[in-house]
Amino acid sequence: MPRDVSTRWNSSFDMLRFAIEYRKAIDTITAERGMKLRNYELGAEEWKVAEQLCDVLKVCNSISFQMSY
Amino acid sequence: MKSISVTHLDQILSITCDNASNNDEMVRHLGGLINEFKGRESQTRCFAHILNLIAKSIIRQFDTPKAQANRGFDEATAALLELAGNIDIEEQETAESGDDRDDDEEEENIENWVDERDAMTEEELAVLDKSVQPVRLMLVKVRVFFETQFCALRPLTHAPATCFPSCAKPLLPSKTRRPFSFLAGMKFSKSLSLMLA
Repeated sequence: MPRDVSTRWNSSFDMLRFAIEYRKAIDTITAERGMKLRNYELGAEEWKVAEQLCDVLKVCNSISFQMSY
Repeated sequence: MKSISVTHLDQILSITCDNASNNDEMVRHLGGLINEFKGRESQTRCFAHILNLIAKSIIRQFDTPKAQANRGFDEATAALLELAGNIDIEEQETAESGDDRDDDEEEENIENWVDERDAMTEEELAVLDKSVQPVRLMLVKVRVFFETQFCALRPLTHAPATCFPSCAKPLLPSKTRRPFSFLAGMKFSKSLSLMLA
């Protein structure tokens, strides 16, 4: 699970991409009452925002990879 | 640098370095010192560094506002900060304990940082804050979720299935359970500036 690090924008992209990929798992876990993560449940609207931000960062990420190799 | 210049003074085609102003100054002076060197025309600005600045300015506007900022927070921001909880503290600890070599890099970037927010009026700022609120909220949620799950995973790395009680099958293939994945987007410009130093 890639975690976000404030000084690395690349890590935000990794985290978002991972979150979107495992959306079902995250939804299941946050919906579970026993996990005490109900506050962090993401709505459909929020997933949409996540996807949009991920798409924007994807551009930067892929260019950075193209330049680095 | 000196030793290179003495023998190959007229052979410098171009100098590639990042956007820090001390590099601009260096190129300008070189242009005056060496006849064959055209100065600014021969300066190549590091693309990776520019890209890094672009990406940072995109992501920065969605950062959770810092608690020590002296202006008051509205209700939504207060709720957001409460939700974020101690994650900022953890992040700071990570940054402090992390590798020190990144420090110069950060300072370099901050030096010619243009903050669009500085040029905005109070009303414009309020509108902007309101518009980025959903994104901030989403990021905080994902961040905290990952943080908690990471902490839960750490002692159980050899038994992934038990980490997700609600899922029958382990959802995470082992290769994706890397604790950290830092991508060195900056290594390009870093190595170049080291060569020039």
